Parts: sequence; structure tokens; C-alpha cells
Amino acid sequence: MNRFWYILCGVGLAAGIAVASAGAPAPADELLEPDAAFRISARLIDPGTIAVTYDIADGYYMYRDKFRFRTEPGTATGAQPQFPAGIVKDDPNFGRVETYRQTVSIRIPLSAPIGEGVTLVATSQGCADVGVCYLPITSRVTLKPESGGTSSAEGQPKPLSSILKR
Amino acid sequence: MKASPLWALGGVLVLLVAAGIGVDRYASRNAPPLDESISLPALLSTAIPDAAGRKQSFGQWQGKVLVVNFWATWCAPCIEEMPILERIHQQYAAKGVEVVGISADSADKVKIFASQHSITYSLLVDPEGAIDFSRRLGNRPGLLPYTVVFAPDGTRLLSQIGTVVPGQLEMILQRNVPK
Repeated sequence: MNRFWYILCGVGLAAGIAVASAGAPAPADELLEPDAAFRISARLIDPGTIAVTYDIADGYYMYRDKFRFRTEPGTATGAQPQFPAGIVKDDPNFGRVETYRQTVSIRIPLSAPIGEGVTLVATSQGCADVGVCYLPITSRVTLKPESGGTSSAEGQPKPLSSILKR
Repeated sequence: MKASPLWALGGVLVLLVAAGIGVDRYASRNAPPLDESISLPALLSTAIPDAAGRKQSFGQWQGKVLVVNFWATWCAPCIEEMPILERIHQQYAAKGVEVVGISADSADKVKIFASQHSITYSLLVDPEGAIDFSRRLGNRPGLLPYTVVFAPDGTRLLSQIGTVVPGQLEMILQRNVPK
């Protein structure tokens, strides 16, 4: 019987600690900067095709229908970008929604070979599971044939605390 | 030492206190550093159009507890919390609480959205300036949703990036509105 009361005390204490910390979203300063939550890189598959890859941090996701691509100079994209299959769900507010997690690679056909180089201008939008959304993000990645056509964002993921004044 | 029911009661009390501490810490844990650039008087002198294009001055809500929520029709977490805000509006409007939504969308999108989702609290529209305005109110990262609550005397009661927690807003309002 004595053991029962000890166990009950322990359960009560453990449950209290769990309730105190469970379910709370990440504090604002633990959220990643947008270019760290959705890290972009791009490479030339061939002179007429760009493969752009987003490495998506754990707990974050991106919307398929929010991707937009164009190039500078205005080589312009050719056929429609080729998206992989994402996670599809029926959202009560948005209807059929397709999202990506972990990583997504998208092929972008160009209407003409890149020549000396091209800058990919990519717009995307994503959210975090903790219940926040980022504004649409525009990234620029420059690709040159002599570099092997590979370019990516630099730097390690930084929390938003680095841009929050204290 | 021989245990007794008093120890079990102690465990239950710890549970209750911890839960209370947890909710209270939660209410403040997500608050970003305060931006002093916009105080309540400055907010009350601001005017933003509603979805019908009519300029709405925040000054009309002077003397009330102001719940200002920044959102967008493309922001799923924003939409998920709107029933909570609508319920707050229904429950506390007569007690001096004004819920105001400021959208980063166009007026047309907000109009359609409001009619489809039966939102009756004030919805203002500022597609060009909503995010910057939210930053000046403390939303430094510019994320959505963002909710800030002011007492009539200008005390900032809440600065929340992300969805409000069910019960969190009610707890704050219950402490700050007349019984």
C-alpha cells in the first residue's frame, strides 16, 4: 500500500512537469530564419535545365502551389517546372493542398541554354508546425557553366534570435 | 518513512501548481522582445481601411481592451485560430473587448473569406503595410499570425507570434475586463 502512494506521488509530479512544458510552441527566438528553414540550392543538369533543391528543416513545410520561378537575364523558363509528388491532404479551408517536407527537387526547363550564366529567381512560401507562416520568400541563385553550374546558399542555420534585438 | 495519503495529495497539488505555472509561462514564453516604437496612443491614432474600403480609426476603440491580430488568407495557422478570435469577440464584445484583424491580403480576398467563414469582428485590410505595421508592434521576424493585446491604459498584455493557445487569451481577458 505504501508503494502505491509513492507511485501516485511520482506520477503526479511527472504529470505536472509534462503539463507545464507540453504543447507549447517554440519561442519566437527558436524559429529559424527563412533562408535557413528553407535552404535553396540549384545546379545545371544540362545547359537547358536547372534543378533547384530546397532542404527543409524538421518541423517546417513548403506549399507546392506557392513556387514561382523566373530567370535573369530573361531567358525565361520554357515548359512548366516538374514537381515531385508531395504530401496531399484535404484542408478544410484550402481544399486540396500539396506540401513538401525534408527536401524537394524541382526541374526547371529553360527556353534557351544559359550561355555565360543565369540567375534563378525563386519565390516560395512555407510554414512551421508550431503554427507560424513565413511571408513569401524570394531567393536568387546564380549559375555559371564554368563552376559546374552549382550554387547554393551558404552559412549554417541560424535562429531568429540573431535578428531579434535584446 | 511510511507514506500516507498526504503524500498523494501533495503530488496532486504539485500537478495543479505545475499546470498553472505552465500555462502562465506559456503566455509569456512566446512573447518577443517588446518594440517600444508603437505604444497604444500611437496605435489609436492609426487608421486602416476595412474590406469595404472605409477607413477605420483605432481611436474609435479607445477605452477598450484591444486584441489586434495580423493574418492572411493564405496562412493556414491564421485561419485555424480565427474561430477562437470569433468566440472571444462574441463573448467579450459587450465587456469592452474589441477584436480587430489586420490582413496582409487584398480587400476582395478578405471580403470573400469573411463571408465564407462567418467572421463578425472588425477586419481591416493593408496588403502593402500590414507586415511592417506588425513589426513595429513587436513582430520582428514578420511571421504570421501575430497577436498583440493592449489594456485601455496602454499596458501590453500579450505579444504572440504564432497561434494563440486555447484558454490563453481568455485567461488574459478575464483578468483585465470588468466582471
